[in-house]
Amino acid sequence: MRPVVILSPRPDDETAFAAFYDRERLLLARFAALMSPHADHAAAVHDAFTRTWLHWPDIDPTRRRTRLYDEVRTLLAERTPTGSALPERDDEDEPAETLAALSALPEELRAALVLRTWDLDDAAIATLLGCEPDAVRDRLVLASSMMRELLGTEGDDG
Amino acid sequence: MSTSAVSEEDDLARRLGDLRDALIEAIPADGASDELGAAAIVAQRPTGEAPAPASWRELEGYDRHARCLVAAREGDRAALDALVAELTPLVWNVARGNGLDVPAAEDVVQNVWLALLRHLHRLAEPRALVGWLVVTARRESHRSWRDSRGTAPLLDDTAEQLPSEMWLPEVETLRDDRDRRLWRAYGRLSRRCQELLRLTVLAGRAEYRAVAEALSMPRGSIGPTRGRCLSALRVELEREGGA
Repeated sequence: MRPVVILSPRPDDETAFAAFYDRERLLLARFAALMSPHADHAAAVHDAFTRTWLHWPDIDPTRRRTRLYDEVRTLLAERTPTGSALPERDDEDEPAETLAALSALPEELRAALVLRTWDLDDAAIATLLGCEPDAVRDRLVLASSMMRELLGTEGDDG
Repeated sequence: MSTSAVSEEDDLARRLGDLRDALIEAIPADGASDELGAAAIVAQRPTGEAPAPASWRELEGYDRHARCLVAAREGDRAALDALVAELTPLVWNVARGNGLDVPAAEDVVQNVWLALLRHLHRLAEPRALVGWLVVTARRESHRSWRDSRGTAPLLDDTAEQLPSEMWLPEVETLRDDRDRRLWRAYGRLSRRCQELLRLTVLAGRAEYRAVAEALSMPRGSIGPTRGRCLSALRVELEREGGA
Protein backbone atom coordinates (compact mmCIF):
# COMPACT_ATOMS: atom_id res chain seq x y z
CA MET A 1 0.00 0.00 0.00
CA ARG A 2 1.34 3.44 -0.84
CA PRO A 3 2.17 5.47 2.26
CA VAL A 4 0.07 8.58 2.73
CA VAL A 5 2.33 11.62 2.60
CA ILE A 6 1.01 14.84 4.02
CA LEU A 7 3.15 17.82 3.15
CA SER A 8 3.74 20.18 6.05
CA PRO A 9 2.94 23.84 5.50
CA ARG A 10 5.90 26.24 5.37
CA PRO A 11 6.15 29.69 6.99
CA ASP A 12 5.30 31.27 3.59
CA ASP A 13 2.12 29.21 3.63
CA GLU A 14 1.12 30.72 6.97
CA THR A 15 1.34 34.22 5.49
CA ALA A 16 -0.56 33.17 2.38
CA PHE A 17 -3.21 31.43 4.45
CA ALA A 18 -3.67 34.44 6.75
CA ALA A 19 -4.26 36.64 3.69
CA PHE A 20 -6.62 34.04 2.20
CA TYR A 21 -8.49 33.82 5.51
CA ASP A 22 -8.94 37.59 5.71
CA ARG A 23 -10.03 37.81 2.06
CA GLU A 24 -12.58 35.04 2.26
CA ARG A 25 -13.99 35.03 5.79
CA LEU A 26 -16.70 37.67 5.42
CA LEU A 27 -18.29 36.31 2.24
CA LEU A 28 -17.98 32.74 3.50
CA ALA A 29 -19.63 33.62 6.83
CA ARG A 30 -22.53 35.30 5.05
CA PHE A 31 -22.78 32.48 2.53
CA ALA A 32 -22.93 29.88 5.31
CA ALA A 33 -25.52 31.85 7.28
CA LEU A 34 -27.87 32.01 4.30
CA MET A 35 -27.21 28.44 3.20
CA SER A 36 -28.02 26.86 6.57
CA PRO A 37 -29.52 29.29 9.07
CA HIS A 38 -30.30 26.43 11.47
CA ALA A 39 -26.82 24.92 11.52
CA ASP A 40 -23.99 26.30 13.65
CA HIS A 41 -22.71 28.07 10.57
CA ALA A 42 -19.97 30.00 12.39
CA ALA A 43 -18.45 26.71 13.59
CA ALA A 44 -18.77 25.26 10.09
CA VAL A 45 -16.89 28.24 8.65
CA HIS A 46 -14.11 27.80 11.20
CA ASP A 47 -13.86 24.06 10.50
CA ALA A 48 -13.89 24.64 6.73
CA PHE A 49 -10.92 27.00 7.04
CA THR A 50 -9.18 24.47 9.31
CA ARG A 51 -9.71 21.60 6.85
CA THR A 52 -8.46 23.77 4.01
CA TRP A 53 -5.39 24.73 6.03
CA LEU A 54 -4.60 21.14 7.00
CA HIS A 55 -4.41 20.25 3.29
CA TRP A 56 -3.03 23.60 2.14
CA PRO A 57 0.23 22.35 0.56
CA ASP A 58 -1.68 19.73 -1.45
CA ILE A 59 -4.27 22.11 -2.88
CA ASP A 60 -3.64 23.73 -6.26
CA PRO A 61 -3.50 27.49 -5.51
CA THR A 62 -6.10 28.13 -8.22
CA ARG A 63 -8.53 25.78 -6.46
CA ARG A 64 -8.21 26.96 -2.86
CA ARG A 65 -11.46 28.90 -2.92
CA THR A 66 -13.27 25.98 -4.54
CA ARG A 67 -11.93 23.69 -1.83
CA LEU A 68 -12.97 26.10 0.94
CA TYR A 69 -16.54 26.34 -0.34
CA ASP A 70 -16.67 22.60 -0.93
CA GLU A 71 -15.64 21.99 2.68
CA VAL A 72 -18.16 24.41 4.13
CA ARG A 73 -20.99 23.02 2.00
CA THR A 74 -20.16 19.49 3.13
CA LEU A 75 -20.02 20.54 6.78
CA LEU A 76 -23.26 22.50 6.59
CA ALA A 77 -25.02 19.58 4.91
CA GLU A 78 -23.81 17.26 7.68
CA ARG A 79 -24.81 19.62 10.45
CA THR A 80 -28.16 20.97 9.33
CA PRO A 81 -30.75 19.35 11.58
CA THR A 82 -32.99 17.10 9.54
CA GLY A 83 -36.67 17.83 9.78
CA SER A 84 -36.15 21.24 11.32
CA ALA A 85 -34.38 22.95 8.45
CA LEU A 86 -37.45 24.77 7.25
CA PRO A 87 -38.66 27.74 9.24
CA GLU A 88 -42.40 28.02 9.65
CA ARG A 89 -44.06 29.76 6.77
CA ASP A 90 -45.26 33.11 8.03
CA ASP A 91 -46.96 35.46 5.62
CA GLU A 92 -46.53 38.27 8.13
CA ASP A 93 -42.78 37.80 8.17
CA GLU A 94 -41.53 38.09 4.61
CA PRO A 95 -37.81 37.47 5.32
CA ALA A 96 -38.67 34.24 7.17
CA GLU A 97 -40.87 33.22 4.27
CA THR A 98 -38.08 33.90 1.77
CA LEU A 99 -35.62 32.02 3.95
CA ALA A 100 -37.99 29.05 4.16
CA ALA A 101 -38.29 28.94 0.39
CA LEU A 102 -34.52 29.21 0.01
CA SER A 103 -34.01 26.35 2.48
CA ALA A 104 -36.34 24.17 0.41
CA LEU A 105 -34.16 24.43 -2.71
CA PRO A 106 -31.77 21.61 -3.60
CA GLU A 107 -28.33 22.42 -2.21
CA GLU A 108 -26.64 23.11 -5.57
CA LEU A 109 -29.36 25.53 -6.63
CA ARG A 110 -29.42 27.23 -3.25
CA ALA A 111 -25.64 27.70 -3.30
CA ALA A 112 -25.77 29.38 -6.71
CA LEU A 113 -28.64 31.68 -5.76
CA VAL A 114 -27.09 32.65 -2.42
CA LEU A 115 -23.84 33.61 -4.14
CA ARG A 116 -25.77 35.58 -6.77
CA THR A 117 -27.33 37.50 -3.88
CA TRP A 118 -23.86 38.96 -3.31
CA ASP A 119 -23.70 40.14 -6.92
CA LEU A 120 -21.08 37.63 -8.02
CA ASP A 121 -21.10 36.97 -11.75
CA ASP A 122 -21.46 33.53 -13.33
CA ALA A 123 -17.70 32.99 -13.66
CA ALA A 124 -17.03 33.90 -10.02
CA ILE A 125 -19.82 31.63 -8.79
CA ALA A 126 -18.54 28.84 -11.04
CA THR A 127 -15.11 29.14 -9.42
CA LEU A 128 -16.52 28.86 -5.91
CA LEU A 129 -18.83 25.98 -6.75
CA GLY A 130 -16.32 24.10 -8.89
CA CYS A 131 -18.50 23.96 -12.01
CA GLU A 132 -18.78 25.62 -15.42
CA PRO A 133 -20.40 29.06 -15.88
CA ASP A 134 -23.04 27.44 -18.10
CA ALA A 135 -24.03 25.19 -15.21
CA VAL A 136 -24.31 28.24 -12.97
CA ARG A 137 -26.69 29.88 -15.44
CA ASP A 138 -28.84 26.75 -15.56
CA ARG A 139 -28.92 26.47 -11.78
CA LEU A 140 -29.88 30.13 -11.37
CA VAL A 141 -32.75 29.84 -13.84
CA LEU A 142 -34.04 26.73 -12.09
CA ALA A 143 -33.51 28.21 -8.61
CA SER A 144 -35.42 31.39 -9.51
CA SER A 145 -38.24 29.38 -11.01
CA MET A 146 -38.51 27.18 -7.91
CA MET A 147 -38.38 30.20 -5.62
CA ARG A 148 -41.25 31.84 -7.46
CA GLU A 149 -43.23 28.65 -7.20
CA LEU A 150 -42.48 28.23 -3.48
CA LEU A 151 -43.32 31.86 -2.78
CA GLY A 152 -46.63 31.46 -4.52
CA THR A 153 -46.14 34.04 -7.22
CA GLU A 154 -46.13 31.60 -10.13
CA GLY A 155 -49.24 31.87 -12.24
CA ASP A 156 -49.85 35.55 -11.61
CA ASP A 157 -49.33 36.13 -15.30
CA GLY A 158 -51.26 33.06 -16.40
CA MET B 1 -41.75 39.06 -20.99
CA SER B 2 -45.08 40.04 -19.53
CA THR B 3 -45.41 42.85 -17.02
CA SER B 4 -46.32 40.47 -14.21
CA ALA B 5 -43.37 38.21 -15.02
CA VAL B 6 -41.11 41.25 -14.72
CA SER B 7 -42.71 42.12 -11.38
CA GLU B 8 -42.10 38.55 -10.18
CA GLU B 9 -38.41 38.93 -11.03
CA ASP B 10 -38.40 42.23 -9.20
CA ASP B 11 -40.22 40.72 -6.25
CA LEU B 12 -37.71 37.86 -5.94
CA ALA B 13 -34.77 40.24 -6.33
CA ARG B 14 -36.27 42.54 -3.72
CA ARG B 15 -36.85 39.66 -1.27
CA LEU B 16 -33.28 38.39 -1.71
CA GLY B 17 -32.03 41.95 -1.39
CA ASP B 18 -33.86 42.26 1.94
CA LEU B 19 -32.24 39.05 3.16
CA ARG B 20 -28.87 40.36 2.06
CA ASP B 21 -29.41 43.62 3.93
CA ALA B 22 -30.43 41.75 7.10
CA LEU B 23 -27.33 39.60 6.80
CA ILE B 24 -25.05 42.60 6.30
CA GLU B 25 -26.41 43.91 9.57
CA ALA B 26 -26.03 40.55 11.34
CA ILE B 27 -22.52 39.86 9.99
CA PRO B 28 -21.03 43.30 9.33
CA ALA B 29 -17.72 43.89 7.58
CA ASP B 30 -15.31 44.84 10.34
CA GLY B 31 -12.63 46.00 7.94
CA ALA B 32 -9.91 44.67 10.22
CA SER B 33 -7.49 41.81 9.79
CA ASP B 34 -8.43 38.89 12.03
CA GLU B 35 -4.93 37.77 12.97
CA LEU B 36 -6.18 35.85 15.96
CA GLY B 37 -8.67 33.81 13.93
CA ALA B 38 -6.07 32.92 11.32
CA ALA B 39 -3.43 32.12 13.95
CA ALA B 40 -5.81 29.82 15.80
CA ILE B 41 -6.16 27.79 12.60
CA VAL B 42 -2.53 27.99 11.50
CA ALA B 43 -1.50 26.64 14.91
CA GLN B 44 -3.05 23.32 13.89
CA ARG B 45 -0.38 21.74 11.75
CA PRO B 46 -0.44 18.35 10.12
CA THR B 47 2.64 16.37 11.06
CA GLY B 48 2.37 13.68 8.43
CA GLU B 49 2.50 11.04 11.17
CA ALA B 50 -0.10 8.37 11.61
CA PRO B 51 -2.37 8.82 14.63
CA ALA B 52 -0.48 7.76 17.71
CA PRO B 53 -1.60 4.37 18.96
CA ALA B 54 -0.50 5.25 22.50
CA SER B 55 -2.89 6.18 25.27
CA TRP B 56 -3.49 9.89 25.74
CA ARG B 57 -1.84 9.53 29.13
CA GLU B 58 1.53 9.03 27.45
CA LEU B 59 1.25 11.95 25.04
CA GLU B 60 1.75 15.70 25.21
CA GLY B 61 0.48 18.82 23.48
CA TYR B 62 -1.79 18.59 20.45
CA ASP B 63 -1.39 14.82 20.18
CA ARG B 64 -2.55 14.42 23.78
CA HIS B 65 -5.55 16.70 23.27
CA ALA B 66 -6.53 14.99 20.03
CA ARG B 67 -6.30 11.56 21.67
CA CYS B 68 -8.21 12.81 24.72
CA LEU B 69 -10.97 14.06 22.43
CA VAL B 70 -11.19 10.74 20.61
CA ALA B 71 -11.16 8.86 23.95
CA ALA B 72 -13.83 11.18 25.37
CA ARG B 73 -16.02 10.42 22.36
CA GLU B 74 -15.68 6.76 23.25
CA GLY B 75 -16.85 7.45 26.78
CA ASP B 76 -13.52 7.89 28.61
CA ARG B 77 -14.54 10.28 31.37
CA ALA B 78 -10.96 10.66 32.63
CA ALA B 79 -9.87 11.90 29.20
CA LEU B 80 -12.61 14.52 29.21
CA ASP B 81 -11.65 15.56 32.73
CA ALA B 82 -8.04 15.91 31.61
CA LEU B 83 -9.07 18.14 28.71
CA VAL B 84 -11.15 20.36 30.98
CA ALA B 85 -8.40 20.57 33.61
CA GLU B 86 -5.63 21.35 31.15
CA LEU B 87 -7.43 23.68 28.76
CA THR B 88 -9.65 25.65 31.14
CA PRO B 89 -6.79 28.15 31.79
CA LEU B 90 -6.74 28.80 28.03
CA VAL B 91 -10.50 29.39 27.82
CA TRP B 92 -10.40 31.51 30.97
CA ASN B 93 -7.62 33.68 29.60
CA VAL B 94 -9.41 34.24 26.31
CA ALA B 95 -12.54 35.33 28.21
CA ARG B 96 -10.64 37.64 30.55
CA GLY B 97 -8.54 38.90 27.66
CA ASN B 98 -11.76 39.97 25.96
CA GLY B 99 -12.56 42.26 28.83
CA LEU B 100 -14.97 40.14 30.88
CA ASP B 101 -15.09 40.32 34.67
CA VAL B 102 -14.67 37.20 36.80
CA PRO B 103 -18.36 36.11 37.00
CA ALA B 104 -18.87 36.64 33.24
CA ALA B 105 -15.64 34.79 32.43
CA GLU B 106 -16.78 31.89 34.62
CA ASP B 107 -20.01 31.74 32.62
CA VAL B 108 -18.05 31.75 29.36
CA VAL B 109 -15.82 28.90 30.56
CA GLN B 110 -18.90 26.87 31.47
CA ASN B 111 -20.64 27.65 28.17
CA VAL B 112 -17.57 26.72 26.13
CA TRP B 113 -17.27 23.30 27.79
CA LEU B 114 -20.99 22.71 27.38
CA ALA B 115 -20.62 23.61 23.70
CA LEU B 116 -17.75 21.12 23.42
CA LEU B 117 -19.94 18.40 24.92
CA ARG B 118 -22.62 19.20 22.37
CA HIS B 119 -20.05 19.12 19.53
CA LEU B 120 -17.96 16.24 20.87
CA HIS B 121 -18.89 13.94 18.02
CA ARG B 122 -18.95 16.63 15.38
CA LEU B 123 -15.57 18.31 15.64
CA ALA B 124 -14.12 17.69 12.22
CA GLU B 125 -10.49 17.71 13.25
CA PRO B 126 -9.52 16.47 16.74
CA ARG B 127 -6.14 18.17 16.32
CA ALA B 128 -7.91 21.50 15.86
CA LEU B 129 -9.45 21.35 19.34
CA VAL B 130 -7.37 24.17 20.83
CA GLY B 131 -8.22 26.48 17.94
CA TRP B 132 -11.89 25.55 18.21
CA LEU B 133 -11.85 26.35 21.94
CA VAL B 134 -10.18 29.72 21.34
CA VAL B 135 -12.65 30.75 18.65
CA THR B 136 -15.65 29.50 20.64
CA ALA B 137 -14.45 31.24 23.80
CA ARG B 138 -13.95 34.46 21.88
CA ARG B 139 -17.41 34.23 20.34
CA GLU B 140 -19.01 33.50 23.72
CA SER B 141 -17.07 36.40 25.25
CA HIS B 142 -18.31 38.80 22.58
CA ARG B 143 -21.86 37.55 23.11
CA SER B 144 -21.55 38.01 26.87
CA TRP B 145 -20.17 41.51 26.39
CA ARG B 146 -22.99 42.43 24.02
CA ASP B 147 -25.63 41.00 26.36
CA SER B 148 -24.37 42.92 29.37
CA ARG B 149 -23.61 46.21 27.66
CA GLY B 150 -25.74 46.24 24.56
CA THR B 151 -22.69 46.96 22.45
CA ALA B 152 -19.85 45.14 20.75
CA PRO B 153 -16.41 45.08 22.39
CA LEU B 154 -13.52 46.89 20.76
CA LEU B 155 -12.26 45.10 17.72
CA ASP B 156 -9.49 42.73 18.75
CA ASP B 157 -6.87 44.38 16.62
CA THR B 158 -7.63 47.78 18.08
CA ALA B 159 -8.08 46.64 21.63
CA GLU B 160 -4.92 44.61 21.78
CA GLN B 161 -2.78 47.66 21.09
CA LEU B 162 -4.24 49.59 24.01
CA PRO B 163 -2.81 49.54 27.52
CA SER B 164 -5.16 47.69 29.80
CA GLU B 165 -5.67 47.57 33.55
CA MET B 166 -8.17 44.77 33.25
CA TRP B 167 -5.69 42.29 34.63
CA LEU B 168 -4.44 44.18 37.63
CA PRO B 169 -5.00 41.95 40.66
CA GLU B 170 -7.04 43.22 43.56
CA VAL B 171 -5.03 45.56 45.76
CA GLU B 172 -5.26 43.37 48.85
CA THR B 173 -3.49 40.56 47.07
CA LEU B 174 -0.39 42.63 46.47
CA ARG B 175 2.11 41.68 49.08
CA ASP B 176 4.33 44.68 48.96
CA ASP B 177 5.31 47.76 47.07
CA ARG B 178 7.44 45.88 44.60
CA ASP B 179 4.46 43.82 43.52
CA ARG B 180 2.39 46.95 43.14
CA ARG B 181 5.04 48.56 40.93
CA LEU B 182 5.36 45.41 38.88
CA TRP B 183 1.61 45.18 38.26
CA ARG B 184 1.36 48.89 37.45
CA ALA B 185 4.12 48.40 34.88
CA TYR B 186 2.33 45.32 33.54
CA GLY B 187 -0.89 47.33 33.26
CA ARG B 188 0.83 49.75 30.89
CA LEU B 189 1.85 47.04 28.42
CA SER B 190 -0.20 46.57 25.28
CA ARG B 191 -2.98 44.04 25.58
CA ARG B 192 -1.14 41.82 23.11
CA CYS B 193 1.94 41.74 25.34
CA GLN B 194 -0.15 41.18 28.45
CA GLU B 195 -1.91 38.28 26.80
CA LEU B 196 1.30 36.65 25.63
CA LEU B 197 2.97 37.02 29.02
CA ARG B 198 -0.09 35.71 30.82
CA LEU B 199 -0.23 32.65 28.63
CA THR B 200 3.45 31.87 28.63
CA VAL B 201 4.17 32.76 32.24
CA LEU B 202 1.01 32.94 34.32
CA ALA B 203 -1.00 30.18 32.66
CA GLY B 204 2.29 28.36 32.29
CA ARG B 205 2.84 24.61 32.37
CA ALA B 206 3.53 22.35 29.44
CA GLU B 207 0.77 23.77 27.27
CA TYR B 208 1.91 27.37 27.17
CA ARG B 209 3.60 27.22 23.80
CA ALA B 210 0.63 25.63 22.07
CA VAL B 211 -1.72 28.03 23.79
CA ALA B 212 0.30 31.06 22.74
CA GLU B 213 0.42 29.80 19.17
CA ALA B 214 -3.30 29.20 19.13
CA LEU B 215 -3.99 32.64 20.47
CA SER B 216 -1.99 34.91 18.28
CA MET B 217 1.52 33.96 17.30
CA PRO B 218 2.88 32.25 14.22
CA ARG B 219 5.25 29.48 15.22
CA GLY B 220 8.76 30.79 15.77
CA SER B 221 7.79 34.31 16.73
CA ILE B 222 6.67 33.47 20.26
CA GLY B 223 10.14 33.62 21.78
CA PRO B 224 11.23 36.92 20.20
CA THR B 225 7.89 38.58 20.88
CA ARG B 226 7.90 37.38 24.46
CA GLY B 227 11.41 38.81 24.78
CA ARG B 228 10.23 42.18 23.46
CA CYS B 229 7.30 42.16 25.87
CA LEU B 230 9.58 41.38 28.79
CA SER B 231 11.89 44.21 27.70
CA ALA B 232 8.93 46.58 27.58
CA LEU B 233 7.93 45.40 31.04
CA ARG B 234 11.46 46.04 32.27
CA VAL B 235 11.37 49.62 30.87
CA GLU B 236 8.02 50.30 32.52
CA LEU B 237 9.26 48.82 35.76
CA GLU B 238 12.29 51.11 35.72
CA ARG B 239 9.97 54.08 35.29
CA GLU B 240 8.21 52.86 38.39
CA GLY B 241 11.49 53.15 40.30
CA GLY B 242 13.15 49.87 39.51
CA ALA B 243 12.62 46.32 40.64
